[in-house]
Amino acid sequence: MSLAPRSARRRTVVAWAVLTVALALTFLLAGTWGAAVLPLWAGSLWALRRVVRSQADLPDDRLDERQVAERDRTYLYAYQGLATVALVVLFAFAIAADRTTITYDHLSGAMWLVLGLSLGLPSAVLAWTAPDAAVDDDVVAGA
Amino acid sequence: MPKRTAPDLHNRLAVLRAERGWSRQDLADAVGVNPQTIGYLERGDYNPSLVLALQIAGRFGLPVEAVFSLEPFRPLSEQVYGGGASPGAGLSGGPG
Repeated sequence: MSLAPRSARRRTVVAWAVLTVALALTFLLAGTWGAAVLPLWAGSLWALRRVVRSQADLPDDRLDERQVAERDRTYLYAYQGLATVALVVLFAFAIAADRTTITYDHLSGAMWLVLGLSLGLPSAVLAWTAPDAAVDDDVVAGA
Repeated sequence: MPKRTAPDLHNRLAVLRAERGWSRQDLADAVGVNPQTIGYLERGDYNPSLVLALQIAGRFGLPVEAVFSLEPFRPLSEQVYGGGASPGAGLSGGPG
């Protein structure tokens, strides 16, 4: 099954990214009110996986060799992105701990940010970077 | 460490497929890959594993070097008839 068109994929990535940040910020600033954003964020994650046909999450035996290579490449970039964000969060906590008290809401916001990214980043990288499929007249003509 | 770049791999997939009247879907089904992967191969955007290259060549009943090459293939018309058009000869200039 082919991936969705690139423009649709990129719109979905932007929506997911905005909702992931909104989820973390809501838990950080408004405590348990963050749960109100959770269904929206879960919906965006579902849509994100749908536009890439879950290719970033399928095991080897459900993909061909090109798709496996593509999936592995997306995980490399997703790992680098996630590690960077996690480090920034850790440094922010380390610096903030000197000046203020770290509360449960702070930890909750950070946890949701890292959790949200870890669940969606591989699909987001794939959705953003995969080229559009070439127009294949043969598929239509041969159908 | 020097940056490693894969050499260009040329192929005749599109021509061979057209000769046989196969769609990308047909070839993809025959070798067990996604149809998009055939498109990637034809455009040279993805280099197949040796196993996949052998499977594809086997489907065409040809040796793998007749389907894939590190050197650009000569056009089939040139190989069959030799020489080809004289230098400078364009598409125009035929009987009007």
